[in-house]
Amino acid sequence: MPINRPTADELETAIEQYRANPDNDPKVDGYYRKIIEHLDALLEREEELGKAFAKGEQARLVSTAELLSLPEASLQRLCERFAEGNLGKSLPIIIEIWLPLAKEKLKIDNPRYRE
Amino acid sequence: MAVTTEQIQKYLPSLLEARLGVSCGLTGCRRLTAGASADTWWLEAECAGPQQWILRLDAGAEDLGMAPGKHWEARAQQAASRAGCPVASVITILDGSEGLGEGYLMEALSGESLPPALLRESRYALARERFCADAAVALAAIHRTPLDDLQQLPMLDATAQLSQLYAMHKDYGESLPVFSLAYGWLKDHAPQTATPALVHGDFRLGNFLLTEQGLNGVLDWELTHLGDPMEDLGWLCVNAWRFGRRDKPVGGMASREALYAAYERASGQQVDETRVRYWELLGTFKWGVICQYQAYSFLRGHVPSLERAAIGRRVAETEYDMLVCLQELMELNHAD
Repeated sequence: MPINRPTADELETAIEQYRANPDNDPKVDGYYRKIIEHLDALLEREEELGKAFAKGEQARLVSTAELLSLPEASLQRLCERFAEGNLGKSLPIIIEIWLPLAKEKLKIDNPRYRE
Repeated sequence: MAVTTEQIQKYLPSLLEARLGVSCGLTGCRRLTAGASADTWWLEAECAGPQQWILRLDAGAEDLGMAPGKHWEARAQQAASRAGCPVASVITILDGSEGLGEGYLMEALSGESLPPALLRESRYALARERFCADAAVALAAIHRTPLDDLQQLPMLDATAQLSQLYAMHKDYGESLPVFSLAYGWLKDHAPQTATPALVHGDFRLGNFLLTEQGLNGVLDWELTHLGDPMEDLGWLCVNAWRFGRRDKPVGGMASREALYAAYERASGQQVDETRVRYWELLGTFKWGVICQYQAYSFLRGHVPSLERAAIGRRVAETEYDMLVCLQELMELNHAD
């Protein structure tokens, strides 16, 4: 469950591009300024929480790979196994493992979403 | 290539005169905020009296790959109207030979569609109270629409939609375990559609026109198809359309139980809750892929919009919602 794209660098570039060429309509520009404000805050949170999130993700990757007896703990291999389906009794455990990480990700992308 | 105001002014009046047999002149023409898959215009005209119309065109629109095209969108809307669904009357359908591309002209209905206004403003209190019953009556009408003239609409059952959405997701190249987990489960549990019905395909808050008295029109038929009627109930409950009111699954206004009871009363058909919940999960998966689609339209340089970039980071919301949906499904039915 990596941080989704656009990455922080891609978002910063997108913001810079807009600032270099803002919309002429003050109403539209005001709307985009709000988006920039939202993205600036998101990028700050990612700077603060991103490393801990990545660490938590790696730990869950390892524990899920063990649970499913996968030959390697890679995201790609895990996704392939999940997409095959037929997880049987492992499914509730997998949800229990990954749901807290989804909450951690929301703390970066949209902390008010679960309110 | 998107059409221009000049093109509409050039082609539409003579077309309408030929089809309606009365003199028509446009007095106003402006593009409305563009949707993802339609080029929509507001028109004012003198045509046997003052008229207010909406023109929906394919021209310049993006294609998510699930739309039947404007001709069939209009035909479905007409058929649902005859079955009793509140929709705008279609005035004429354009087949593309008129110089404006494929599209259709319909009457403009009154009402508010913006979710924040509908959910918060006190003047819509009665409409909110009536919403479940109104939505159920509209859905029942859509789902009992005779299909004789609509056989060319695509048949999109769960398996067909899932394959299409997963292919889109895979094309973006991100390894996202929650998407794969949801896909694997949905694939294993895809319901068979025993009796296909007309499905609206985007029946959610944002696509309804409400007056202070209640539902006045069901909008945006661009994803209509044949399939499982429970899909519309599930999509209506997807968390993204609750606009922050997580405890009220039906468009942020009502409980699932209220919707099921109202639908059963209006349609005479029993609701299969597990099936509706299946479609809610598939709908959440779909919304996640749509967020990715919008983000990648920016990342791949097709739509240089900061808004499109920002929506990519809303995928996290759909990942959380997919896990919650899966957990609730398991609690509901001890699935797997």
